Amino acid sequence: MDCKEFHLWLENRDIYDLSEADRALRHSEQCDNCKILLGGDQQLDKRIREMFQYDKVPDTLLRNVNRRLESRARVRKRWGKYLALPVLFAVSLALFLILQPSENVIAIEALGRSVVLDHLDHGSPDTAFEKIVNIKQWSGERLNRPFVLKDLPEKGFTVVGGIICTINNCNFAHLLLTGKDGYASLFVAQEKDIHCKLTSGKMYSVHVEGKKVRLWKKDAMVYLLVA
Amino acid sequence: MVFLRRVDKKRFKEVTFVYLDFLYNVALKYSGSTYDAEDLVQETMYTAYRKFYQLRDEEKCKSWLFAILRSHFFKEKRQFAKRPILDDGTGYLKYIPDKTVKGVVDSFEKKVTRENLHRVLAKLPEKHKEVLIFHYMEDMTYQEIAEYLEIPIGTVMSRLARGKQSLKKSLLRDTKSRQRRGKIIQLMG
Ligand SMILES: [Zn+2]
Ligand SMILES: [Zn+2]
Repeated sequence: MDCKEFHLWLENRDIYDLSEADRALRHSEQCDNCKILLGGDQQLDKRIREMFQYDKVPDTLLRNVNRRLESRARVRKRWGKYLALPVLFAVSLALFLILQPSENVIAIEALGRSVVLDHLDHGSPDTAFEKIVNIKQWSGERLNRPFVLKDLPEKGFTVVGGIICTINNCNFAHLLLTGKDGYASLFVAQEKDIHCKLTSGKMYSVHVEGKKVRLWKKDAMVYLLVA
Repeated sequence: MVFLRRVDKKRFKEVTFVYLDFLYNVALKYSGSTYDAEDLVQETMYTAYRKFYQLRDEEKCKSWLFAILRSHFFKEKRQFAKRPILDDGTGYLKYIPDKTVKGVVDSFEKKVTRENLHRVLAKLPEKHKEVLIFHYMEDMTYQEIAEYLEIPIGTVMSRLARGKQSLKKSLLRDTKSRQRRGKIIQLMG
């Protein structure tokens, strides 16, 4: 076996016959470079195995699973005896379908307007935004709900700082960003605290006062970017 | 009727709750986020409870729960924008920066963190991710993985080889690029 074959073997061990391992090991005993690679690969493998160790299950999980199972039983018991249930369901579904879109659109627009006003009011470095080193940690402390910034609709933003703003009785993390078009604001809140329904993976946009707001949902958090 | 359901629920908890640990950790590796993982396990347990009568052999409870979790994950994942798939995973050795024993060890001994792992795993194709999870997390043999996922053993081997390549390559590359970026907050992960 030569070095090239050894590298191929090392990177594809799982599909090679075991007899190849003998040949490979014999090569590595005579070749310093390959010996180092083998050692390094074993270390990496060990490290990966460690990283795959179980994480501790959050205390909330068992509680939530239990609650979910209990509530299911309760709902069943309460409604089970009503024969009219299917009819009731059909009617409420129809109402839901008729009312939902327009009402929801209004709610989304209203929320968009509120955050734009907040951004126009103090979305500039004149306001004392706190410095943020680690967003996850900062949001965990300030908003009681950590989030990370990913999936922004545009690239190239840098975080200047953040504060907590109360908008429509709901606490938002208000982050000031700089991008290629100047300052932008990103507002983040828990989905349950706002009164609109957003679909995961969908990007919404609202235009208010010449500003564009994009809204999306991720991990039960709602993000609004005013840029 | 009510009585029956109660008995079921107790039995359900006895049989399934011991696997919450396992399910949560698989979910965490699948989704990369503790919130998503919790959601995924809750959905899984809820579905499992509804379908508990379908579980004929309690010995198979773990793989049965896993199958439910997996199908939930795939269902939800379809709603999200598609993640960029990494290239075909050929060759990671060239990403080992400094080819001395010390350099090799240093380059991932300390700096490769769980966050690197989650970030990297999130981008791997599911078929690679799941064999990696069973190989590294559950320490299963090729044969065991094949039975779990109901795929041929040869497929397990080739997916594992490919999966390991992508994983190692991305980890090495990810670690390296994070080192360069230093403390600047990078928004687009
Ligand atoms: Zn060699
Ligand atoms: Zn504000």
